[in-house]
Amino acid sequence: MLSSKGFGQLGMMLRRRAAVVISLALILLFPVSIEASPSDEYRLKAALLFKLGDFVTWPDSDREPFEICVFGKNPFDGALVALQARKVKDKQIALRFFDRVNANLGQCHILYIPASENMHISSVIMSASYNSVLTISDIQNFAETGGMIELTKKNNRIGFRINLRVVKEAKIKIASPLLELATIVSTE
Amino acid sequence: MDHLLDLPLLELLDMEVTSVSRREQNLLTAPAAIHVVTNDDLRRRGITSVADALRMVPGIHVASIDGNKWVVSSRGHGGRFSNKLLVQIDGRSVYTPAFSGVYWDIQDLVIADIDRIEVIRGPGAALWGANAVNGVVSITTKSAEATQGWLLEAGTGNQLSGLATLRYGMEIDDNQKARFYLKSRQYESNDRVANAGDANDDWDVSSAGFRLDGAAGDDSWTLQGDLFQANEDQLLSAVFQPAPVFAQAEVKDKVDSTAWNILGRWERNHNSDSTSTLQLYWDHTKRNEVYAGQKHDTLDVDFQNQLSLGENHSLVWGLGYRRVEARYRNSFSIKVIPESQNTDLYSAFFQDQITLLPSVLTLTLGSKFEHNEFTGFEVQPSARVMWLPAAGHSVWASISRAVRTPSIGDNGSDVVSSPVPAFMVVRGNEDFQSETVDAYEIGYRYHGSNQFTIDATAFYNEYDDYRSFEFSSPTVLLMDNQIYGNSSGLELSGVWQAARWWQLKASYSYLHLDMKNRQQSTDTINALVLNGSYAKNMWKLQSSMDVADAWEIDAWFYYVGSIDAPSTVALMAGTSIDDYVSTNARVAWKYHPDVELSVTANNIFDSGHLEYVGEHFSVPTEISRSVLAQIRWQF
Repeated sequence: MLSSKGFGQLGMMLRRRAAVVISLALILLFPVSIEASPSDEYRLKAALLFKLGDFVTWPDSDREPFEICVFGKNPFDGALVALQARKVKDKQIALRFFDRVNANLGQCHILYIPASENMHISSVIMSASYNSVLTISDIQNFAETGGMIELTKKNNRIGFRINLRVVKEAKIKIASPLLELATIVSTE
Repeated sequence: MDHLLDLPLLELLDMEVTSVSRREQNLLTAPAAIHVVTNDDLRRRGITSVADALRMVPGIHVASIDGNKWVVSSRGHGGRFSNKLLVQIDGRSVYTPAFSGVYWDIQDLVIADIDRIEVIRGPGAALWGANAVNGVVSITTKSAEATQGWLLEAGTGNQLSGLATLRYGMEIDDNQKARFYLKSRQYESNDRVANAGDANDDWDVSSAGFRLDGAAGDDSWTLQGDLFQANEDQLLSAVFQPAPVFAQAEVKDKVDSTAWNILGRWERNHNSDSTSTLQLYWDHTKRNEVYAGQKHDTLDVDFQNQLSLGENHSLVWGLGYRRVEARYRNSFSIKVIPESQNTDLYSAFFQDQITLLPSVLTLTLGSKFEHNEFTGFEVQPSARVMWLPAAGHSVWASISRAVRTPSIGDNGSDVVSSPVPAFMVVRGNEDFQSETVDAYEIGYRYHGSNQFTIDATAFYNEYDDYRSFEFSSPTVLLMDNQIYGNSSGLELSGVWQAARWWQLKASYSYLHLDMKNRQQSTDTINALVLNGSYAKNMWKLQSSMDVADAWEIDAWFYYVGSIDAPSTVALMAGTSIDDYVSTNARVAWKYHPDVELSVTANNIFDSGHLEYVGEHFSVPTEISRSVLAQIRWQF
């Protein structure tokens, strides 16, 4: 009696487990293959990273090349590649990708922190801004929490919020045409 | 792309983008006491085990009972089976259903592949569900894409005598990446307290696993699995036997523990404002020791959907189902009743983050609704406010409720606690109710400077229906809910970038518990243990230096205040834990961009000290000074 009930349960269990295994296998065997191409959003953001350089002055202005860096998972899907053929203030652009916080972060001119790296924000921001790196991110309230330039979305357009206090503390200067386009979060 | 780069800035800003991805919330404006341990932190502390990774987290108390048993607690209520902390790895719960708590020994991961460990102090039940009473630990490993290539790691030392890791990450096609790993560790034994000889706590643990990540269009998926095997020696103070033998003292036992799991997750972005995730896992654990055998199979299905409703509402909701099939091998000392049982858990939750004033004021309302086998429906709501009064300052407050639902053991078990004068039995109770907390927290963060940040939290918790052991006959202590009380505390932490190459982190925490018995209670012990099993004061200090590009020099110190009554056994024996300061250091040299050599030393100025004494059968064991030399080669 007990054993037949036990077998019934076992059968049910096996069927349930088979269902799990099959659904996992389906996910594995039929990956949808769609060619990944940079989204409009990230093409625009890549262009913005490039354009911003013209409006910003860094304390050690001779540093070459002009380093545009991305921390963590790169969301640009190749949209940044075109930047390598360009110059900012007559300096060749170099791309660098970081997956850990170290002293080399300080060599970046611009550091973009993707939304996916939100959990690493505190350690990245401090190390970068201490070393006069312009920090840019689209994480919510980035400008309020020690970041320099926050990319915002309004009416399907991209805008800026700038924490001027942190920018000044890092001895970075942002030219007024850019400031006029942005929402200034802290002026101190 | 080149066309875009030639446009003036004004025109770029005027361009309309149809799909702008959802803006991720900011960790620093989370209305909870959250701390993140990063991969860098783990490397720079020379971390080799998951429990030890939490030692430097502000407010978290980690203590070793012996070489293979840990206590990890947040805001008190510690112990080997501290059941108020929910722990999960890549979305898989590792909280054991039998006696609650976590078997930290079998939670083995390639430390270099951990992306981060999020630690929330205080209740997280509205999102995470039951048992997130005093905290949540969530470990996230890196994606396969972020762990491509080979990682070879080897290490040896006086305690951890052998460490070997091999990981290989490969590209399957443009859309799919995978990694595989093998890992093994062997540990030497510690010494018993007061020079009483070897503690017989040497052990080894090995693991193997894989992770596959894919993405195409709006879909992404993960399939991962692990296999663990641990062989552990332990010394038991006594194993009870039927009269006339009664008890066998100082039994050398072997723990045989195996576990495996497989997890699949599928995520779809419906549009820029909505994402769904479906996760499925099957987790198997088996543990055999002289006084008990436990086997659990857990099947868990979880669905979540995130969506934005207009500009001001960011909603997350989800549904879950979990089945645990448990089988036990009972002994004279410990019986789980019935020996074979299946439990079902149904859950649903929602959370709405409401923007009251953009970039200034946010209200988060949410609740978890669960139906469990033993106590039926449980509702665990929370309300949280985040206020950004000015750039660089954030203030938050919260009110939340969480419950600790009965474990299988709470519901039905017999544990022999003493052979004299007659066999005393601690008995589970099918009328045992959930333990509850109502928590009130406030916090403040400062992040307006490039040089330092400050994080402060204060809390007050009201506990009710806590577990007590009531005499139902002269030889039977029945589990009941006759303890109530409160706790209060303060947690401060800060980071100071002292120089380009030098960062300092410090934290201090204060905790006070006041647990009491209801008048009708006959339990004279458990409230004393609850009030005596935590460190009132803790401070932690870490210094990280990058020297001459190739060198990392780290030193860290932590103070743990005295613990008067770590467990019932210790209280009866009059064993308390003295306060101590632990001094630790690591020096690492990048011999080559791909090769890192390091030496880590723990408890440098202390040949051995007691950190905790566990419940039932444990033998007080001193944790020794240890040194570990490691090489890590990545290519």
